[in-house]
Amino acid sequence: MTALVRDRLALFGLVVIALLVLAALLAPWLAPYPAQGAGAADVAARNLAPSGAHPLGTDGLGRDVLSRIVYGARPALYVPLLVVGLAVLIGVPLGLVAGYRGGRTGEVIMRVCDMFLAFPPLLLAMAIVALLGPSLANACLALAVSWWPWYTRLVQGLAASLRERPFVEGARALGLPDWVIMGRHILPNAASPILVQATVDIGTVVLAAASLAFLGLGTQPPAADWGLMISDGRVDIFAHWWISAFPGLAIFLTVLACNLVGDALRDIFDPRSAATAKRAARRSREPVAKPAKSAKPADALADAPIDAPVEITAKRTRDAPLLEIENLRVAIGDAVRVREVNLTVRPGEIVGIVGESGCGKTLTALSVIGMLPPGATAAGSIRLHGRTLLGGDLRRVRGREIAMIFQSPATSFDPVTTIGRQLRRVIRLRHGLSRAAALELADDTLKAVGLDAARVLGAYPHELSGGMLQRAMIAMALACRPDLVIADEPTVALDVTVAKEIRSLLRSLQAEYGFGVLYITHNLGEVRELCDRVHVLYAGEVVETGPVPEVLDRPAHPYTKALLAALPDAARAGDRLAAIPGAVPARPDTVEGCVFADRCDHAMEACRTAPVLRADPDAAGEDRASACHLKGVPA
Amino acid sequence: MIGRFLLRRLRGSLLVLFGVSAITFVLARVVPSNPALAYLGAKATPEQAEQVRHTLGLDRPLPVQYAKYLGGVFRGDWGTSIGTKRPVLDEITGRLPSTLELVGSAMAIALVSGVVLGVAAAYRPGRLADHAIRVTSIAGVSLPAFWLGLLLQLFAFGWLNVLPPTGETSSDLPYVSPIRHITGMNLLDSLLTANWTALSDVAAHLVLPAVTLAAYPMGAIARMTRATMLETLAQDHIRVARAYGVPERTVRWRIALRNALPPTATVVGLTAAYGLTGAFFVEVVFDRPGLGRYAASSLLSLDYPAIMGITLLGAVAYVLVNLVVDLTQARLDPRVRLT
Amino acid sequence: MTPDGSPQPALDVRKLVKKYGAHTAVAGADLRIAPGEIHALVGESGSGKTTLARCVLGLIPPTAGEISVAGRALAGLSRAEMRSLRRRVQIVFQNPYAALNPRMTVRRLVAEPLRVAGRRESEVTAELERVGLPGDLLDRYPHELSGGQCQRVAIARALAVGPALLVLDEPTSALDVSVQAQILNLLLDLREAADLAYLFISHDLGVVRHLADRVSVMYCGEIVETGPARDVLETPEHPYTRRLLDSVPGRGRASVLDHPQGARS
Repeated sequence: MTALVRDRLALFGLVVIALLVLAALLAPWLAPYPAQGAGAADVAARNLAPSGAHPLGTDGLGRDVLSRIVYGARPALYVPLLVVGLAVLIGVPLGLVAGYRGGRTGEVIMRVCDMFLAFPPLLLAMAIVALLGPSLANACLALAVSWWPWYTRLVQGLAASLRERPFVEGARALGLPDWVIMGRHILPNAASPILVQATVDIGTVVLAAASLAFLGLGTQPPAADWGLMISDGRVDIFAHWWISAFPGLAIFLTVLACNLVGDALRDIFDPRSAATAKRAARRSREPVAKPAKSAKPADALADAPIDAPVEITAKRTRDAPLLEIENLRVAIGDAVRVREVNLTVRPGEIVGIVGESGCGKTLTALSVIGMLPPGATAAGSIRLHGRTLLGGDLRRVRGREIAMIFQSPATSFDPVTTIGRQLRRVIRLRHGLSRAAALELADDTLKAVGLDAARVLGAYPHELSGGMLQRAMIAMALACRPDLVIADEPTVALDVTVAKEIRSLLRSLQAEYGFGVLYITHNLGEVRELCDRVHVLYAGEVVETGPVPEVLDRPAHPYTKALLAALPDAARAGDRLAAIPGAVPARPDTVEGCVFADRCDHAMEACRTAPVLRADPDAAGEDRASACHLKGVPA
Repeated sequence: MIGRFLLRRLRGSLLVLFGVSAITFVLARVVPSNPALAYLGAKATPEQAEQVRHTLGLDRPLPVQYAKYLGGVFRGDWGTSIGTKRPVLDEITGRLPSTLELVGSAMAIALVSGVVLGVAAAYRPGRLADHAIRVTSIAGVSLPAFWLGLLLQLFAFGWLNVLPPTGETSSDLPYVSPIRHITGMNLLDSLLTANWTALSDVAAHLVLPAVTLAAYPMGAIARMTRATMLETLAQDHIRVARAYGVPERTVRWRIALRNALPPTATVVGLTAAYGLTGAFFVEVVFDRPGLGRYAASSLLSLDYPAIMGITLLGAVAYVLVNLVVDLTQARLDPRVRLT
Repeated sequence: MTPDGSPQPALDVRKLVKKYGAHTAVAGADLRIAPGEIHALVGESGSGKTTLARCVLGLIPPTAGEISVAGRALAGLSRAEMRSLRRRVQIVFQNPYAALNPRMTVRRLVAEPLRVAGRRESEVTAELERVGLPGDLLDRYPHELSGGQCQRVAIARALAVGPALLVLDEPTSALDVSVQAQILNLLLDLREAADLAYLFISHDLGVVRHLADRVSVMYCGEIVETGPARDVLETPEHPYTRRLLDSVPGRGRASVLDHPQGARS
């Protein structure tokens, strides 16, 4: 409710609905004149324009328009409530049965439903009322008959998808009777969409009932009904516009209010959609501000020679790092999620970032290409070939010097465009090639990653397996001839055997083309297999870094050690594993001293009081560094 | 594959149409109001009523009547309109072009303005323009068409006097510059015969009703376009495109809009079917001699052969629109398979 | 007890076939799990592991073959008998959040199976304690819990009806290593205490090696290899099992050596 109030449009809708309810309940006290029946007509006061005595004028029989609108709120309220109520009562149980139980019963229900849905609902309602005879009761009945199938279809779809959800399968495994599962597990989880639909439908039914009345098929004169009033004033619209205009406004506002509230409810109940919209909103704002900036020659990158790979290659030495991250600090809102991260990738090196979920590994990677999520800010310094990336315009670096491979191959490609076109688009952007030349390069690259190029070029993403898509993604990265490839858990969505192939592919391409790789993973085995050096992240900080064999075989930091000990491989089969007690602090940036101290077996007084150490290898002048006061953890 | 799909669809559609006609038929026969009386008027004697019942075949068993009716439908005999005493099918085909022209122009207006508004709103979400467009599109789906029509008449004719309020053509057009009919659609025919006087006259008469009828689909299309554009912009593959330096222009106008098209096509189809019902009101308000006005008067006078004919036509139109939507979906979205 | 005196297997699957139209998801699988045994079922996605599990749980009817749970055949039972037999097999899913009804509190979530089993709702706290959860979580909703806590609630729900067999469908693959260790320890403890058998579906061979007594390897709807965990994992016979073993991350450093360091820097 508070969320509804916060949305100003929805608040407006709520106010209108509240007024409607008030008017309906208090009509005899609110209306200045009688609205219908013998006392309402006043021959002397026919067709009076709005004035002090009649704020909204009078109609052709001398009845006060305002009073009739107030009384008209009654049918405008109870007709839709009755119709939608009936439709829900009939439609929802049928939909539940059809969706959850399915089978022949479900089939029959949906067939009947389809028959009704093959019709615009208002047309069906009109035909039914006409045949039953025009009256308000028949109009309600006809509308309910036309509306229930929409609820059946909505609920059937929801129930059918909920049925496959683990918690429902779990409930079935418990042996609960079907009606309990439908009532306790399905219906509550389908309630929000039903409520949203009902809210919007109340508006639609107001409109439909008014339409029926307007044609003379609904409420019959002389009752006070908005649709009927518009019809009354229609013939005289040019001379006495107020007779039709005001009741129409009442209808419009009521329907508008229902739609506004329905919209807001949808956003509230479906946090995913609302969040998505907001995320998209913020994200799409980001680039809008940028073009002006990038045009400035002062920008560090605008001047930089973007397409000078030869020159850059010549400069590559062991001492000139490809990527340097210094004191990177990323905050989302006021929560600092990555703190003082130092990291370097040298040309032709595979550097791992390993850590558990939420440790800041993806944020670190995304800050390199300047694609942090909305609301996140980065500080510190990120340099590629010595040029500053952080704060610069990165669009000329992305897909050129840096290529990124993402977690989920299935969603990484545009679903309605062929792989070939998507590859070609990136290649043409990168190399400025002709269509034919770009296609040729795409073809070559796909072959280089071990795919059947002819098939993949013309395929849509849904026609390929996850492994093939991830290969295609790697081909996209490769086709850019990047200096640095950032791979963000590229194997996490794949089967183990396929994951292995992807790692081997990355390794061999890296050896062949010589790009540097920043490899993000939560799997220490992957680090051991693939990486030259590794950075272990815990709660947003690098706790340990160094060459892979050294870090994994002789961990210096208690966290690294605990992580390795928690692996099933570390213990004898069937023995208890050395789980790390406790949990990662929710707000590590508020922890005094070492972030791991609370879970550490070796924590001392100094861990909480002494200045926090950073695992900065350059400061130590060597490859190896640990953020622990204890140098060399006791075995 | 398309052939088999069409065949299967045809079978399903026939079943639906069969069901629809059965529902209306049964309703028309079992309702308390007496069709024979409707035919004769209230002053008829019981003997006359019996006579008419017999000639109309109303005294025979329901299934027999229905079979006879259905047989007629397939032979092109949709019964005789009680109101006009002419064959229902003739009445319908005679009025269809006018309604098609109205619905067609309304949908064209709605499609163009809806997509443009939706895309514009999605371009800078949360900004003033977005809010304004959101309110406009919600207003579009909240306006009673008959009231909007009256208001537009009031403004454009009553106050500004720039457009004619009612009718399909000026009453003197047949004398000044008569339209030679080819398709039956005034606008198209005057264009085809290069009859510019008629063209401008017909267009002036069409503007208000078409805009009135376009309000609802415009709102629905704008909302759907905006929502799917935003949804697409939040998807992984958009992030990938940006990570590969694809310019924002391309991301929005090529990738996101392309992804937003299939759901928009669905809304266009749904609202086109709505347009048929909307035409009832718009034609009444604007006094256009189309199918909608005929339907409205048939409904009121309990002209049941006409009512059944019109509902059947409505169902046919709906089935056709859905078919077109499905075929369009399959073209626009490679994941959709025609089954 | 069987005629020869050995205890009834917790699960006995014979010649199980499940077809979806023309597609055969499970093609004649045999599987026996002794009481108290941890039996791992490994294989890649689409190999039929999950379909087999769903058949065992009675969620979908098999096309052919027999399934017996604790000595009683699943086929040919009345609805009520089926429901009561179902309680002998419970499942814990991979995604702990999706496995709990988001609109129920921990208290209601755990009380539900207790009621089903005819036990008192006051036992909720004891059940939570059994899976290592503090009582102050009772009125929380699933989205207010951590992944590990959700998985514990799911385990408590499954255990509340006193099953003979627990199907664990990749129960730790969505969890972090340190949390995974906690859950695996809990599963080992529970097995000791309740003489439960586990059908442990996984593709993490490290976890399988640690936990399982026996291993079955599934490939294209068939069980291609089965035996004591040590035998299968140390001396695999089927080529697919060997490939699976070679794919364990970290095992393949050798392949990296195919590309000598010299080629890179």
